[in-house]
Amino acid sequence: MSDQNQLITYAVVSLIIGAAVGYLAAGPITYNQRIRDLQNQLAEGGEAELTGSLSIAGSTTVLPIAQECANLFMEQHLKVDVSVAGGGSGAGVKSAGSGEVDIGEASRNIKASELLSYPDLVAFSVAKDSVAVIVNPENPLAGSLDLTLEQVSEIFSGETKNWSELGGPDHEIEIYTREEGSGTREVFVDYAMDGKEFAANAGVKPSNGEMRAAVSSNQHAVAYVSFGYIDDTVSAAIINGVEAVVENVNNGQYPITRILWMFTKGMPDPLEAAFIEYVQSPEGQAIVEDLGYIPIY
Amino acid sequence: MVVKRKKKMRNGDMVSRILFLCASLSAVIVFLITAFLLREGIKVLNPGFLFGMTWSPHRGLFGIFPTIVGTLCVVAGAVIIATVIGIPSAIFLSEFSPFWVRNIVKSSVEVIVGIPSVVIGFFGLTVLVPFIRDNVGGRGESILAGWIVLAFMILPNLITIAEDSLRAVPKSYREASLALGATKWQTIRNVVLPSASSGIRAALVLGVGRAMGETMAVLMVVGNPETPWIPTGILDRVRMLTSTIAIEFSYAEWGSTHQHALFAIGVVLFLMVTALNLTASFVIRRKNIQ
Repeated sequence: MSDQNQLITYAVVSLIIGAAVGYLAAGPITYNQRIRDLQNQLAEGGEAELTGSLSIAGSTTVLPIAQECANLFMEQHLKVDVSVAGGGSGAGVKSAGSGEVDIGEASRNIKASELLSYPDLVAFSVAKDSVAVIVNPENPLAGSLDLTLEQVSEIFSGETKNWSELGGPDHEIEIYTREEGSGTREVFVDYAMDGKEFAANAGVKPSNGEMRAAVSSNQHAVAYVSFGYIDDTVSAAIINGVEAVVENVNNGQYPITRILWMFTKGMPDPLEAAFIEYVQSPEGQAIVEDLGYIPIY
Repeated sequence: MVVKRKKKMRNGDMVSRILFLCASLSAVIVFLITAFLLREGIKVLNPGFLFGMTWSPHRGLFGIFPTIVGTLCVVAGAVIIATVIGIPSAIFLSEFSPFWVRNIVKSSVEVIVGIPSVVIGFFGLTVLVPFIRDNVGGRGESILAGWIVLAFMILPNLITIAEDSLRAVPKSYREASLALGATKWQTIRNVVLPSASSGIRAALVLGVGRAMGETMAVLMVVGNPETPWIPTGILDRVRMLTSTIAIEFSYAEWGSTHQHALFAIGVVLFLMVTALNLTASFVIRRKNIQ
C-alpha cells in the first residue's frame, strides 16, 4: 500500500473512532443538559417555549384523537411539529418501547409479554371507548337489530349464516373482522366471542376505517368498529337491548368498554408530557367527546 | 512530469476502486437481505409450514399452502389476461398503427405506470368490487377482481417492452419476407414475432415478477379471508403471500413464531420469484443459442 493510501486509511479510521467516541460522550451530556433545562424551567416558574418534533404511531382507534389534538397543539405551539401515523396497537407498543416513535398508542391494555420486552414503558389513559357491531343502513334490519352477546358470537363464528335466521332477507351474512393483534379485535374477542373462533370465511380488514367502508358499501355485511368510527354510513346494532351510544357506556349498561392508552419510553420528556397533558386536559377531552369517544373523567 | 503522470494513474486507480465499491454494494445488499430473511425465517420453514392447510396464528397454526395456491391463481390469471391484451396491442402499435395513434396510446400507457398501486387498489375497491358483487355475484372481493387489477398494473410494462423488442427487429427482415411474396400477416407471424420472442418473453417474466410481489392493490380487492382455503372458483376470496405479510406484520409480536412465519413467507416469495427468473433466463438463453 502506498504512503498516500495509508494516510487516507488512517484519516478515515480516526474519523470513525472520533465520531463514535463523540457520540458516546454526547449521550450523558445531553441528558444532563436536559435535566438542567428542566430545573431552570421549574425555577423560573414559567413555561419555556416548546420546540422540536414529536412522532406518534399505533392503534387506528386512537389515531383520530391523536391527529385532531396534534393539529390544535401545533396551532398553539408554532415551533412544534407533530407527525401521527397508524399501524395498530401492537405496533404502537412496539415502536414506543423500542424508541422508534416518541409516543405509542394502543386500544387495549399492555400484555405481560410486551412488558417483559419493554419494561420501561409508561402508560397514560387518554380516553374510554367501546366496540359496536355495525351493519349497512340499507339492511332491512338496520336500526332495529337487537342482539344478545351470544347471538353476536354466533354470527361472527359463522354458526348463524343467513340474515333470515335473524328475521332479515334470505342472504348470506358477510362477516368482516380485524387482523390478528388488533386492539379492537382483542377487546371484541374478550367481550363478545365467548371463546369461539371467527368464521374462516370472514374478510380481514386492517383498520377501523376499512371495516366501516366495507360495511357501508355492502348491504349484507356485518363488522365491528370502535365507537369513534360510527357515523351515518353505518348502523350500530343494539346489544342486550341497550343502544350503542356513549351514555350507555358511561352508565355501565352497554356491555363492552375499554381504555385507550398512550405510551412513552421511560418518563416523558417536556414535549411529550406537554402533548399528553394536552390530550388529557378539558380541551383535549372535548375533542375526544366530539370524535365520538368517551372522556376519561 | 514523470511524477505527475504517476499520480494521475493512481487517481484513476482510486476511481475504479470507488466504482467497484458502488457496483458491489447492490450485490452485498441482496446478500444481506437474503441472509437476514433466511436467519429469521428458517425456524419455521419446514414441510408442515409449506403444505399446512390452516393459517391461524393465535392457535399456533402456520400453514401457507392455501395462500401459495391463491397467489399462483391470481398471478397466473392476471398474466394471461395481460398477455391476451398486451401482445396484440404491441403488435398493433409496432406494425400497423399510424404514428399519431401510437404516440397517444404509448404515452397514455406510460401514464398508467406512474399511478401508485394504492390508487389502483382504491379504484378496485370502490368501483370494481361493487360492480362484480352486483353483476357477477359473490362478495365482489374475489380472485376475479385481483386478476383485473393486477392485469391492469402489469399491462403497461408488458406493452412497452414487447413493442420495443418488436420494433428492434431490423427492417431488412420484413422487407426480405415481403419481397419473397409473404403477406404482411405472414411476415409478422413467421419473421417478426420469432425474432422478437426473447424480448417478449422477458416482458412476460417481468410481469409475473411484478404480479407476484405486488401488495397494496391486490390486498384491497382479493378479500383476505380470516382462514384461507384452496379456492374452487373465480369468485372465491383468497390471501396473497404479500398481503398476509402486509396485514399482519405490524401486529406480530417481536421474536414470536408468528413473526418468524411472516419472514418465512418472505423467503418463499423470494424463492418463487428467483426460481421463475432463473428458469426464464435459462429458456431465453437456450432459445437464443439455437
